[in-house]
Amino acid sequence: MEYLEHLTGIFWNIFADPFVSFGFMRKALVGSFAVAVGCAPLGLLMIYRRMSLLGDALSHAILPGIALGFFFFAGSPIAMMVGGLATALIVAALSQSVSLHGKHSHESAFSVFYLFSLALGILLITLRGTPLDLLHILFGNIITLSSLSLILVIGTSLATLSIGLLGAQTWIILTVDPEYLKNRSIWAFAAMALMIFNMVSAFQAMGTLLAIGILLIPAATAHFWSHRLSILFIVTIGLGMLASYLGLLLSFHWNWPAGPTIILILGGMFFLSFLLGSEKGIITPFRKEEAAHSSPHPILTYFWGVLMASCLLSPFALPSQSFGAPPRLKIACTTPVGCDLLKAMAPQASQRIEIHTMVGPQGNNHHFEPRPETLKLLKSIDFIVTNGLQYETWLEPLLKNNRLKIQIKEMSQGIQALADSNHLPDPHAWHNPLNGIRYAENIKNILIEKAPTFRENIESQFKIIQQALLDLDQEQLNLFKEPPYLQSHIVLPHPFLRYFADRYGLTSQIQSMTQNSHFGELPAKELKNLVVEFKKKTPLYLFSEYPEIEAPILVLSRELKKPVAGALYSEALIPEKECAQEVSCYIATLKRNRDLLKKVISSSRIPPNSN
Amino acid sequence: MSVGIRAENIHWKIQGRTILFDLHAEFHAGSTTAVVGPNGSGKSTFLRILAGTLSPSQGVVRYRGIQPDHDISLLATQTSLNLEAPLLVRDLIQMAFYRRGGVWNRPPPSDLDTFEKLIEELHLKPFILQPISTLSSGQRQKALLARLILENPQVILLDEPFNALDTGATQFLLNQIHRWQREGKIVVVVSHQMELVLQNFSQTLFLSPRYVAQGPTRFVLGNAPKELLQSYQGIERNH
Repeated sequence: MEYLEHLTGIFWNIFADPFVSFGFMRKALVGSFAVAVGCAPLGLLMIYRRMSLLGDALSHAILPGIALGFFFFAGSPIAMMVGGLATALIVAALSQSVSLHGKHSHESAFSVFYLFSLALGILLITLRGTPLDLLHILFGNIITLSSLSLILVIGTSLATLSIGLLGAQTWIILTVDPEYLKNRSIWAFAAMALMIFNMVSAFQAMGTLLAIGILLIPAATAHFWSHRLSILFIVTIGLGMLASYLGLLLSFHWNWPAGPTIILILGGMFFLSFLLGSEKGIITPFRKEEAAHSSPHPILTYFWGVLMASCLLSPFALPSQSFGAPPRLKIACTTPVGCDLLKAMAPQASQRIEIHTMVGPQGNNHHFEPRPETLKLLKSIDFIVTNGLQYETWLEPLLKNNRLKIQIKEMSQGIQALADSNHLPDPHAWHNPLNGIRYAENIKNILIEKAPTFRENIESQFKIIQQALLDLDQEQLNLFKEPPYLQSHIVLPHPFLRYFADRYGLTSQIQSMTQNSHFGELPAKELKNLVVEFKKKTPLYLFSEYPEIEAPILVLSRELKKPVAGALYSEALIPEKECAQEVSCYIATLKRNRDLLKKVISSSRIPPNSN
Repeated sequence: MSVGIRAENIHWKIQGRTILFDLHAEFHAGSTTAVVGPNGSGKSTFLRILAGTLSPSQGVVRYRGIQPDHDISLLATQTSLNLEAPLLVRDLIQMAFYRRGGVWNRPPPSDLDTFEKLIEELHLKPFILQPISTLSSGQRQKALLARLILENPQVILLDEPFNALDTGATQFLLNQIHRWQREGKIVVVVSHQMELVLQNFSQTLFLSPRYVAQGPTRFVLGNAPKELLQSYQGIERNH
């Protein structure tokens, strides 16, 4: 009996508890269920009309519209939706007229529209260098679904489902024998319009690729199992829901990104059905006999089979183990620097203070997609230490959408912000050691406020850090006023040394390939200007950065025939094992950067009369 | 003349080639017309123009007492029928009810009786709950024919309907054509089977680049140039 209870408990913890205890999981489940249910008729229509490529085309067609909405209406969600709706309708109308006129060319026409819109979207986004992330639009993040988006998705799905069911006979004829239908172009366009509404409502919620995946793959999978529309309909809905549920579960227990996991599970189901499907599968054991048409359909049996198999596999997805007694103070930090300073100042007190890193020491904060793990963590946290200066743009919507009220402490409080070319604050303030002292001071004050019993420890640690940073600053002041540094030109991939240059009077010496921190592809003209500009400058040193890939700087390096001198640490810190002896990895990283600059510049020969 | 169709001055050009040139033709209620002529002479195109699904390059089709959207049924050789679609043969045939009654109306019991009788006569009963993808081309043709009969249209346009049919089904269709004629409908049938044409159709429209004629079947075929008829053995025997 006890064993049974224990077993029930395990099953409950694995399969139900994530959705009972966590609001974000419930929302994600409801959202993906809504798409699965509402889009089943549309999905079947698209699959059997052989128009799945059109779905792809439409999902990308909304991209330029969203970008335009972003530019002209300062990123208001409504404007982006209207923009997306408008461009998708244009593409739908164009492809409709093409498919009505040319019999064999519509597949290729859809591919053309799809690539064209994607390229136009990327062009628009890159030109303005906005922080609008392309990958986010395509794949989104269903676990950060906001209530507004959820309502929108449910509304669209209900509307689609009811239109689908009410006009069922018409949709069937449109699929089976379009020429038999009066006003068939109107109906065909109505189908596309529904598709567009679904894509647009889904883009903010879960990204268009995930939405089109839930829309198309279950329908494509179902047709291996039946030829009866009613059964196909139920199987399509069931597969979509099952994959969403399993995907979210895996994402929760294994900390995988939810969207791609759901798509991968759907893909797995498709291939399994391709092999074993009772209707058209290529391996026979499950295939029913021809005479069995009148007997009850065995589809449900297979359905349960799949469910059981997934249950059998699921014990591998054991929830992460629980800790002993709950600690007194739980702090989350969003930047490598913040986490490092926190750890450095609370070493004695660490048994009573738990520090949770949201972006690892090698991570980059400009692009960050929260995972279930992040949200689970945030639910139990006392406060978050952030960099501020608009570095963590993802944090506020994340907290808001999940109704989390957590205190945010900005380390950069009190720092005079430098602005980038878009008049936004440059977040990389820690590269100036004096700002580092301010960071440390802010953290010290927070720690003392929250854990007053450790006041002495914290203050003495702070003094050590303060002294180390003051020493470093003095050293660098002396070092960088030397002629080789004042006569050199340093080029970075993105401007992360603005505060550093400002402190040491190297503003005209240190330049970057782009002027704002978010950059996509470098336009050819800009690259040409850079090449022309830097050709004149000598001596010139090119640096790449950790942990980014150095592609842009390598292009410049090839053009100027100058090797890349080395990699500086921009967002990340040096690996922990390399700074175990130091007071703080942050300070060690600043020193590492300084040593690299020193080594490269002082060791090279200064040409005579260079100015 | 109360009910009828008149095609006036019809031209059809495709990619610079003229297929139909200044064609005039008339079809009256209670008449059966065969459309004959060599391949590529525009017979199927002409049927589509008559049905109103294709607009001619020039010219006009006038309908008297007929609503083209509603009263005309065309059985084409090349249909948009998607055989991969998840549909049962029964549902394919019963699409006719939708055509007549719209989405919302359920078919009256008399229509369902007609349906039962039709599938019995066409020997489709055993296949009625199979997916349409399992049908042979002959069975498919029979199913489409059943659908067309159920529609009960005023004007029936058939493009080479006998091609895939066996003797029994051919006889069934010929009987049906005669029944339509008695009911005062307009029947236009494209066919290459001259014997069938001679025995069953009172009127003939001959389409070819050099010889275009419409009138009583024996008259039209009798005046046709010999070389045009060479491929039709049936005609040679009768003359």
